[in-house]
Amino acid sequence: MSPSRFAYYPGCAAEATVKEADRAMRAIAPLLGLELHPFESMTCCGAGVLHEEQPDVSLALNARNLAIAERAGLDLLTLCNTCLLTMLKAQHELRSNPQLAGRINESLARFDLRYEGRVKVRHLLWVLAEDVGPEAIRALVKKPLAGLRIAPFYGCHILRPEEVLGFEDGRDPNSMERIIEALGAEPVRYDARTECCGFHVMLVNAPATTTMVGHCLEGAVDKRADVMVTPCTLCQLTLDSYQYRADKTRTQPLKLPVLHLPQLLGMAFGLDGKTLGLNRHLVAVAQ
Amino acid sequence: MGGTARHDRGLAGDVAATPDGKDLDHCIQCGMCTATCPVAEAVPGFSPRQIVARTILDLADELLASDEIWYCARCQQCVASCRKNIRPADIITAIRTEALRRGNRDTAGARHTMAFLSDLGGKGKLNEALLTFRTLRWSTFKMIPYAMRMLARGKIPPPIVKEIEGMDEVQALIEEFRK
Repeated sequence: MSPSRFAYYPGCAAEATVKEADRAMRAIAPLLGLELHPFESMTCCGAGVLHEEQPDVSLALNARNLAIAERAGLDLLTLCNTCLLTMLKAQHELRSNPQLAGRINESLARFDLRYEGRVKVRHLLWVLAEDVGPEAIRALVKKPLAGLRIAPFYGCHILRPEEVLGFEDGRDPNSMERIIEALGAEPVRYDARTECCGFHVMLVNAPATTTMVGHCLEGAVDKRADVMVTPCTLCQLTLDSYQYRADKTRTQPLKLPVLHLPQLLGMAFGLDGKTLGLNRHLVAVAQ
Repeated sequence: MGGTARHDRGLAGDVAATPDGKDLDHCIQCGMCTATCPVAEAVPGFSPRQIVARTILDLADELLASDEIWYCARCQQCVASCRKNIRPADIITAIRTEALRRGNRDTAGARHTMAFLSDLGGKGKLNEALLTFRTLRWSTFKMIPYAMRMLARGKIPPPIVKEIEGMDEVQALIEEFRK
């Protein structure tokens, strides 16, 4: 496998609160033939939140990040669904508003940067499903996850809106299921797999997030899932850390471990739990 | 109508004048957004359809100072389900922008949003450790049991964030493009 090179943009969560996602990603990347190049000069994408206060600032900062990747001749790879959607929406806006895009480029020129729209913004899940492919993933498996029932949880910002993301059917996706099968496990089918974890209101309306987390996890537990896996660092953070709150309204605790997608691959590839940060979960992961 | 309105139609005109809110007038109040909204299911009384209706009717004072405009979880279900393709979540984004522009800054939602510009303008990255306190202020004490669990797993990041390279570029862009 000749390595595919990417500008690596793990997202703020993977750089701070859920560092285990970044560690697992760096551990599996060489096995998958992915070369990751982090850039110390890139800012936070603003998560669509900066856009609420200052839409043009948000667009200019995203254009700068994208231009940094373009200058290096690299496509961009992220572990966060919200980073993915924010950057793809920025690309969409830069295409549809050439006048503003022109003004931003005039400013970027002072820093030897120019956004031309060549850079592709990719999520790890898309790179796995499309570039690496389930067959190559299967060939890397050392410890097949046979007998494990795994609930995929996609997260909103990798599915909707389809006009911006457009990778697969937002109502009936299957990329996660294909990867779970390639690892030797059984994907669990449940309705909440395309629903919202509530991350973006977890501070502003914690009770709402607690209800949403409970609903999503319960859907998977009802279908006898052993573990949940998500491509999004923010969904993982929410579903793992708010689970004890969701348990308070239940007679039986949910006890559903929630893995980051790179952790699940690492487990099947035979990497040890410490390297993958499995000790950093609030809901214990059986190893 | 308030003296701060830029358009004859008050809030409706201001929202419809933005790229996010431009399709406001095509709303037929069918209610698909509320029917598919997971927050509406979790929070009694929360309704994106009503937020859009109150915007169209220019009930600005009550709406823009409310907590509920900040309850949308940006899940994009309403964007996918809207029969008129007006992107209700984007309209709520435009309403939030207008709320801040008119000085409605004293809700947890407003403080949470404003923390992003201040963090990105400071170090270029989000300060996750301080975000809770900046959003919730003294109500942060409610999060102590949560914080203890996170701390036990090493999941409270240090409150000092390493500054990105090229912060002068970022600050110049912010000065130039902020409104």
